[in-house]
Formats: sequence, structure tokens, C-alpha cells
Amino acid sequence: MGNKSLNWENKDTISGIIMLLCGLGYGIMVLKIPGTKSQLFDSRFVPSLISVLILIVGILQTGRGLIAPKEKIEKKEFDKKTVICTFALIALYILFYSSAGFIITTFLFLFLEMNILTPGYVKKNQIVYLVISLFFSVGIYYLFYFGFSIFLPGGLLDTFL
Amino acid sequence: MKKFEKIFLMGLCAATILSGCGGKKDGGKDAAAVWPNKPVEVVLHASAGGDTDFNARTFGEFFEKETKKPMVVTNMPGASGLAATESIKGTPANGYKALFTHSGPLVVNYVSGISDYDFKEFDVACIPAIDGGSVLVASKKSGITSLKDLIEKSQANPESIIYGTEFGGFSHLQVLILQDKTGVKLKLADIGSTSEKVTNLLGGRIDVASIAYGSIKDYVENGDMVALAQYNGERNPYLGDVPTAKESGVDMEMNNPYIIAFPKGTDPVIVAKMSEIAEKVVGTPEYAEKLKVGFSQQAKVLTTEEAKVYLQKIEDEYMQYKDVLRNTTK
Amino acid sequence: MFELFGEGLLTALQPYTLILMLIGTAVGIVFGAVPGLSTVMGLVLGLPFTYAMSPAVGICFLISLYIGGTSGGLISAILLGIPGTPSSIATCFDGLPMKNNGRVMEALGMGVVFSFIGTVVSTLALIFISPLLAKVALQFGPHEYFSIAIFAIILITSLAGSTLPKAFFAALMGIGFATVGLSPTDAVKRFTFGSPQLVGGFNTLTVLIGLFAITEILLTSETIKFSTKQEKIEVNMKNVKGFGFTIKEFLEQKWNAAVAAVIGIVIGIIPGIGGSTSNLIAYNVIKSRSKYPEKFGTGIADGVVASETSNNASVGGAMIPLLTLGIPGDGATAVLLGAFMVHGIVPGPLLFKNNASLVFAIFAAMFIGAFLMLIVEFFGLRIFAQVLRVPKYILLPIVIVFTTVGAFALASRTFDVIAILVFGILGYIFVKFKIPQSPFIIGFILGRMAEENLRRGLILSDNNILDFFSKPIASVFLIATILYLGYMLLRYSNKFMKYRYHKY
Repeated sequence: MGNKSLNWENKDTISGIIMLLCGLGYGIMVLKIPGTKSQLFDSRFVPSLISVLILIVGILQTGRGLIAPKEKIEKKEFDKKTVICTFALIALYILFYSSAGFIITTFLFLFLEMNILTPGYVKKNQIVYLVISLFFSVGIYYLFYFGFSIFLPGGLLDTFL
Repeated sequence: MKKFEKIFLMGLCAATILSGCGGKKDGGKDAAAVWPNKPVEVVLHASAGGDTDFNARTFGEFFEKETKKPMVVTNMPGASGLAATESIKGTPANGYKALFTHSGPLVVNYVSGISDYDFKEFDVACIPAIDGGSVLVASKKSGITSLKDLIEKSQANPESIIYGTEFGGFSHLQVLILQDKTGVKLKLADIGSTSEKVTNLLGGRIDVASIAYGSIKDYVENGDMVALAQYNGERNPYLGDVPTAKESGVDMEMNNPYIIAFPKGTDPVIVAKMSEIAEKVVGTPEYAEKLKVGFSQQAKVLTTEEAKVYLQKIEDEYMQYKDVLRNTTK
Repeated sequence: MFELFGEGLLTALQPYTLILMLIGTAVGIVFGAVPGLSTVMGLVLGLPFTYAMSPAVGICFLISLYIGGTSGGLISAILLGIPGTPSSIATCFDGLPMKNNGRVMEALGMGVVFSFIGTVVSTLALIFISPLLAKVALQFGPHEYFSIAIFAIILITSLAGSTLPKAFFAALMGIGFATVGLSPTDAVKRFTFGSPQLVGGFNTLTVLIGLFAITEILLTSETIKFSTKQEKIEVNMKNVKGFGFTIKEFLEQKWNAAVAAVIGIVIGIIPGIGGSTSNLIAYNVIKSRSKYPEKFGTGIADGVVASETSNNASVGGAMIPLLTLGIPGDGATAVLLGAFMVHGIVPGPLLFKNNASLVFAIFAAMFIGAFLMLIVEFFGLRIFAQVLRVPKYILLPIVIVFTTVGAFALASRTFDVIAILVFGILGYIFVKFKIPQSPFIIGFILGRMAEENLRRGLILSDNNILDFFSKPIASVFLIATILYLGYMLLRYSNKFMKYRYHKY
């Protein structure tokens, strides 16, 4: 017999626990849906069914992960810093999209993100990045304004546009 | 010290005077006088290709001819019209963004409880067109030949005839009023919008429905469907030979007005201007022709006060059915 | 009859029309290729331009846009691993690996040629057997829609190539996200937390963008700084003649193409579902029929062929109910319907009688559009591949910008832009834990259809659930689903038992 202890670090276990949390979260929110007393198949039916099924699936998955033998996990090359920076930049870009406006946020996003992603061996040409950022932020804005009559958020530049 | 105080006081006075002089750039009398001096955006609750979209774009075409400024259409479908109404509710009332919709989102939604507010949450400018093209049709399979026939058959056998609709929507209200005025009971089924109604009528899964005439014209012509009645007070000349409900002895009149509404607090001068423009547009023969060809609509207009009175009237009428509308599935 | 056919053909072949169709094809391909912009969006933007054109010309223009857009999605699917439109989701699964294996021209070539074939085959179906096929559309009521939606979800979930719990989790989450908003039938606000934006629910395009585009840039950022030299994907241009593959390879795909085309046509005919669903179903069906299912996802032509043939076949398929019944087969044909109505023409059973030359012009336009797409993409193939020369650290941020624009353009709300962030986080977590994406997407797309039609069917059947089995088509799909599910669960528990007991 192999090891009897439960494997909590296994990816399957972790994903299983995430599933359970999702199922629970969804299930709790389902309780807020007003139900219809006389009917089984009302607006609560499908969401309730889904939350129950997610919980079942979560149990299966967690179980599967827990009984898996402990394996040595190889650490893959993973540049945490870049991922977090990229994610943060995208989040800021999107959250300020409307208030600061499309042109400003797009310009900043493009310029900064290109800088963040450039691999070490490449010499960063800031002029190129600047030109590209400016071209696309202003270009797309006016393309959609004049070409498609879709008005991207002007934000802080609203008074000038 | 005294000198300093004097200078400070003078500065304060100057500042006060200057701030009074500047005035609001975007609001105030000047803005209303030059409106429109840039493109006006209308937000629609419907997506491109339908009758509301067509109506808005056609109106916009003639709006531009009148004012030399374009009218830009933005489609914001979703949540039975709430997406569009919410968007306009929160938008600055500067006269350059308005709602172009019909009584579905602004009246029926309130009656059915989908929306907490009605048209009074906005500054209604006018009604630029009224859609009187909805027709009550029956499938050939149902064997129903006229409105009178429908009434007789369902009195003999209550809830045997299936009426397909979208619960909470305009056609749902139509059938509730019809049932009320005729005393009959039909079986109501949530079936979807025009496409689903047509498919299920042809497939024999529902017996009757209310559909825009344009969509079922061919079927009436080749006999797959029978047009039982139109809901207008007087016959809409573009609907062919369909009797009105009143002609068949049912005292019912119901049609769907399109509404142009600004966010609350818009300068009344701007609101009045939009209303005047609408009057001019509707008076144009080319506009009337386009409406007729496109969706068999007659060109009619109601100005600001007329529109509000009309909307309140129909809202009061619909509110009688509020509980039934909200409780169909409960 | 022949004069009308000639008349229609002539209208379509006039220089003015041809030029417009060329523009339409090119515009369509661009909208299809750029992630974030979609075919439907292109059609909606093009629609107002057609109001001023004559009906035949306007509709021909839109058709060429439709065809171009549907096929354009394969370009970014293969080059970037991000589907350009929902119709090319499955193309990523094998298209991207093919590119990574140095077979990018073959992938692109296969995709383009089989898109062409899909369009042509479905157009032939449209021309010769549409009245019969239209009857198929009429057989689908709420019970049938529910059954086919459930069947499709179960099918794709079980074939997702991952362990069942994970695949089902993905599907369930997809359906769960689809429940956000107003519930079908009684319009109850679900999971809206008092926010008027959430009342509208999420949009498929935002799911797509988040799940693929945002995830892709996050994945890239994991290792991009470690790359030591420009890892240029060897675009082997020397031996590439024509479309990048041999006649032998072409013929090997004939049965895949045939099956995929049929699936695409049928799904296109059923109103309400189109290319976005058929590509996933065709991919999975062909995978399940294949002699080497384990190779799917590693980069084989079969995957690309399945996806691209079916999505373009759905174009012709969706035109069938549009022209014969006046009922749009999918989102794009709904816009086309608007184009008809604006000119006072209502497609339907009498369209052929009253407007035969227009109908023939449309048939001609479908063929011409297919050829134009083939030609434009043929010349474009080499240009598209050059996109790979642009370094990822410049290309990906620009792609992200376009996706936010596409999301915003849906309804001019920033809510949709924020939604892509939400689905991006979700997508990244999914990839990290090897949870498959296709069940999520199909669950999202079809989840609402399933619930809506379940409830509608129950209303028609007076809450008698057994009534679903009294309807032939519905019961076929339901029984197939139950059997398939049972089979899958048995296999899983067998595997699980082996896994458990043999490890010790």
C-alpha cells in the first residue's frame, strides 16, 4: 500500500476545492432569487440544479486529488512579476477606460505594456513604442468616430474632442 | 495690514463678478438656442434590422435634412429595454443624447414590473410615429377563420386555443386586453418573439399570435395563416384586407407609439425644438413613403404635451391588467 | 425561369456590384480576423449603407461581408490562438498547434479552402433542396430546442479531452454565467445585485475575448521575458505552392468535410443557432468518429477542416429559413432580414414567386462571395503569415486594445469591457488548472436556450415533463443524451477505479 495521507497540494485537490467554493457561492446567491411557491420549474430550478451539480463535481474532483500519490512538482519557469504587472495594467486600463477616456488609457496601456513584455535581449526602442501607442490610440478613436459613428469614451479629453 | 485687507477684498469682489459673468458653457440659454450644433445621439433598446431601428434611422435621415446635423443611432439591446433606459437615465441632460424607443420599455415594462419607472422618468419630447401593424393571426391548422370564430370556439372550450407570446411583453398585454374585452380564455404560452411565433404557428404548436403584418404577409396570401383582426381603431390602409377588432364587435384599440425622450432636466427649449422637428419630418411625403414601404406604418406625430397625455392614457388602461400580467406563471 | 436566372446573375455580375462585393468580402474578413470585432458587428455597421442601394445590390454586399467574416476568424485563430469570431473557436484547437509546429501555411490554406467548400456546398443545398430543408426548421419547437441544446452540451463536455469532473465543472459554470440577468419567461432578476448592467447579462463576445485574448496575453507574459532570441516560427515558404497543401492531403479530408458540412447546414437551418455552435459540434463529432482522436488538439488538419467547413456551411444553412420562411437562422441573418424589410421585401414562401430575380441574384452572390473570399484570402495568405513577424510584445497589446473596442462597441457600455476582465481571470484560472474552455463556452451559449425552452415546453405541456418524450425529435436527442451520458459516466468510473487501485 502506498501513502495513506491525503494529498492537499495536488492541483486536482486545489481545483476541487475551488469548485466547491464556486458551487457554494453560486448556491448561496440562488437563495436570493424569489421563488414561485406553486411551481417546481421556476426561475430557481435551473440555478439550484447547477449549484448542486457543481458541488457534486467539486466533491469528486477534490476526492480525486486527495487520494493521488504525492508527486514531486517540477517548477516550471514562471515569471511572476511580468504576469502580475500585465494583469494589473490590463485591470487599470479597463477600470479607467471610461473615466480617463479611450485615448489616454490606450496610449498608456500600449506604451507600458509593450515595455513590460519586451524580452531581455531586445533593446527597447522607446520612440517606436511611443509612435505605435500614439498611432493606435488616436487612430482607432477617430476611425470609429468617423467611420462607424461609434463614440469611444472621451473621458478627460471630452471637451477637446 | 490694511493694505493687504483692501487688496484681498478687491480680489474677492473681482472673482465673484467674474464667476457670475462666465456662465455655463454647456447649458443655459445660448446652448438651447444653437441646438443642435453637433451630432445628436439616439439610443435604441432594439438591435439593428428591426422596426425600431429602421424607424430611428429613417427619422434620423430626415432630421439631418432639417437641422444639417446628423442623428447617430446607437443600439443598446438587452434586458427587455432596460439597458437603453438605464443608460439615458444616467446621462447628462444636455440635449445631445436621447432615447428612441417605443411604449414597450417605457410603459409596458413598468406595468409588468420589469422596470421601476415609466416614461415620466424622462423628458418626453414627442411621438414621431405609431406602429399600427400588429395583426392577430391564426394558423391554418387551427381551423379558426375569424375573430368571431375564435371567440365562439374558445367559449365552447375554454383554454383550448393556444396563444403564443412573450410573457411580460407587448403582445402579452394585447391578449390580456383581448380576453378582457371578449370574455374568453385562451391558453397562454411563452413562445418568444416574431421568429419563434411564426415557426410555431406553422409547426402547429400554437394556434394564434399577434405579429407584425410585414412578417406574415406572405403566409396570409398563400393561406398558411389567417389574419383575424388588426388592433387599430380604423383600418390601416397598408394592412390589406384585415378587419379591425371593432368591426368584429370587440371594443379594443391598441397600437405601439415610438417615443423620443430626453433625460430628465433637459432644457424645455430643446425638447420643444425636437418636437417641432418631428412635426416637420412627419409632414414630409418621402418620410411617409419610406415608413409605408418599410414596415407598413402610417406617418403620425404627437407633440410634447399630446404625447405625454397619450402615454398616460395608455398606461392607465394597461395598469388594470398589472396583476394578471405579473402573475401569469405564478 | 431562365430569363429570371439570367437577370439575377446579371445584377450580381455588374461591375458596381462586384466591386461592392469585393469591398464587402475584404471588410468582412477584417472584421472576422480581428479578435473583438465580429461578423455580426460588421453587418450591423454595413447595414445603414445599404439603405441607399437597390435591394439586390445591398443584399449582395451584405452576403459577401457575411461570408468573408465567417471565414476571417480562422486567421487570428491560427496565428494568435485567439478566435476572431465565435465561429472559429474550434479552429484554435488544432490551428494554433499547427502554427507552432511550423505548418502555418498548411493550416491557413486548409482553413480557407474548406471555408470555401463549406460555403459552396451549403449554397447548393440552399438552391436545390431548401423547401425540404425548411420543413426541418419548422419541426423545431421548444421541446426540440431544449433537447438539442442539452445534447450538444453533453456531447462537447464529454469529448473535451479532460477528466469529466473538470469538463462538467466548466460546462456548469458556463450555464451558471448564462443565468445572470432576467430569467426567461417570468423575467425574474437573477444574480444582478441591484446593478442595472447585470440585468442584461453577459454577452458571448465578451466571454470569448476574456477567455481567449486576455488569457493569451497573460500566458505569454509568463515566459516572454525569458526568450533568448527571436523565436521566429519558421514560416517555411519555400515549398509552399498554392494553398500550402497537396491534393493527397486534400482528398484525405473529404469525409471530414462532408460530415462537417452536413452538421453546419443543419445547425444553420435551425433558427437561433449558427456558426458559433456548429464549429464546436462538428469538431467534436469528427473527433469522436476519428481513428486517432488523441491527436486532436496536437495540430492535425482534421480539426481545422471540421471547424471551418461547418461554420461556413452554416452560412448557407442559415440562409435557408431566411429566404424560405422569413425566419433568420442566426444572428447575422437577422441583420440581413432587416436589410430586406427596409426595402419593403419580406422573405418568405412567396419570395420566389414575387421576386425571383432577387432570389437568383442572392444565389449568384453566395457563389461569387465564396470565390471572392477564396481569392482575397489566397493573395492574403502570405501577407497574413507575415503578421507573425511582428513581435508578440507589440502585437498582443494592440490586439487587446481592439478587443476592448469590440466589447465596447456591442452596446456602448464599459460594463462589457469590464466583463472581459472577469472572463479573462476565469480563463487564466481554467488554463492553470487544465480545465477545458469549450464546455464553458457551449454551456454559456446554449445554457439559456436550454433553460428557456425547457420552461416554454413545460408551459405548452402543462408541466408534464414526460411529454418531452412524446415528441419524436426531442425524444431522440434526449435518449441519445441519456445513453451517451451513461456511457461516459461508466467509462469514467472504470477509469477511476483503475486509477485508484492500480496506483497502490
